[in-house]
Amino acid sequence: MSDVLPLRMIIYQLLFIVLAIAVEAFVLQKYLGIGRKSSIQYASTANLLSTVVGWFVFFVSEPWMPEPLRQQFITYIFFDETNNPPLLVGLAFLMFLGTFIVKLQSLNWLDLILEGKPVTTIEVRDRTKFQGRKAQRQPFANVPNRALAVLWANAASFTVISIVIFIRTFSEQPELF
Amino acid sequence: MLWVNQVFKQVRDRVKPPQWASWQTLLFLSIFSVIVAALTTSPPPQIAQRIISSFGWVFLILSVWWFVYEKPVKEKLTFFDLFIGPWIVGALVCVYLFGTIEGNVPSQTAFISWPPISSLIWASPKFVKSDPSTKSPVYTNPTKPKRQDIILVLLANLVISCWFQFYFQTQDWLAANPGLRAEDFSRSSFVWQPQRYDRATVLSRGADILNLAAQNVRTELEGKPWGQVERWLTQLDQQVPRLRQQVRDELPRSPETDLWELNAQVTSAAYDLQLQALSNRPNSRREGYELTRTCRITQVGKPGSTQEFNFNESAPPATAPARQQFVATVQCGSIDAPRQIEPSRS
Repeated sequence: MSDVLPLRMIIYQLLFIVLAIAVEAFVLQKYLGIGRKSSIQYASTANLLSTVVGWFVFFVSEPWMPEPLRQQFITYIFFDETNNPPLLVGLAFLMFLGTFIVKLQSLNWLDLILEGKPVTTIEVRDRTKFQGRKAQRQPFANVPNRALAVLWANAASFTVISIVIFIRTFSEQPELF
Repeated sequence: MLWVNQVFKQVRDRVKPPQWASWQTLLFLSIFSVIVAALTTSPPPQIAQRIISSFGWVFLILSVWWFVYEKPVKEKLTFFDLFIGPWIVGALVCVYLFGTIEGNVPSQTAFISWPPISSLIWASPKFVKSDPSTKSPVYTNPTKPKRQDIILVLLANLVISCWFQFYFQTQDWLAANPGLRAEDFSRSSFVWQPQRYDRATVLSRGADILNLAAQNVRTELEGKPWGQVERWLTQLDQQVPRLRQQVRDELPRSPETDLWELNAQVTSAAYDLQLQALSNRPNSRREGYELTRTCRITQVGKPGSTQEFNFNESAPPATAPARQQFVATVQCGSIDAPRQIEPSRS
């Protein structure tokens, strides 16, 4: 009786978490101007929490899945095939949105736990007001808005993860019969 | 004989409690409780024995907890600034809480609760500060850098327990779809099979199924009257599930058996019964195999043995001419070469 272990999933998830933490720490550091150690802490907390929440959602929803959907999950997990690409794309999109919301909230909670009080966000400079010559020299990246920074960080880490998934998908060895 | 004395002396020094409140005391208490529990015989539900053995477990956990926090042990158990003593204590706690209640096997709950409980044990010293005036522990909020560490360790352990839970989830799925275990998982990016997929076993099992089915058909139809056989063939739809069940009962249960599905159909006017074993799900893209075996059922005339009375003739005794009876005979060909079913692109 062969035993089936989810070792590949563990290794891939470790890889994704480490990559995501590295990428997001870099993006947060550049955007929010916070120190390197602090950005790594933020990024690792946010990523680990979103991973846990994602798993939790999966485990809670699995008993409630209709049978065809569960069969599709099983064929995807065990055989890496999907008959329903729109489902996959939809799920990926939902994952992006979900992780963004969780990460944004986790930063607030982390500040609450660490500092003991909510940190007020720096307000976006009002672009409607006439700024004179300053208006020309305010590129997007200079606005220290926390939600925007988290969005960019999330997009960057998802891009890196997607690149790794593409590399893995298109470098498959041909099956030998 | 001198070295034996040395060994005894070393053991005694290690084990002897230096003072009343130390981990050795707790360890002795635990062993004592276990001995008492073993000696206690009480009628089921054995409450007294359970309580005493629970004490034994609690003392053991407390003694190990104390033991790992001793200075030399703590230094030995610290790798990369992470002290792994709490994980050992946590393993004992989980085995006690979830492993001993339902029998002596660590259950699924034990595995998935081991990391969070261990991280709570790891974090608990940080919540305690000794009050300088009364020299007794006092609850306190941990300092800021420690808070971050606690959060990170707790979250990382939760992720590990999610991985354990995923393992149990895959086992549940495999149990719900028994034929799944015999398939090839090498393309998967989630699971890993230590044993390589053995195509020959799967194919030989399919051949076994076909042979057994042909044998059953032969025993059912060979030598039977033709009318009965024809009726059997027209009611093939009802006969096939019964045939499947018979074959399944006769073969040893294994995932390869569950993989194959048996079909039968009549392919020509001369009653060719085609038995087919399929190893593919209808709407999956995986390559599957198909094995077929054709049995030809023909009618043969056989001299009848029953005698009938003929009342038309007047001469006694009334006998009837031997009547020809038609019975069926089944001849089965060999199994065709396995045909690979091309994946259907939807």
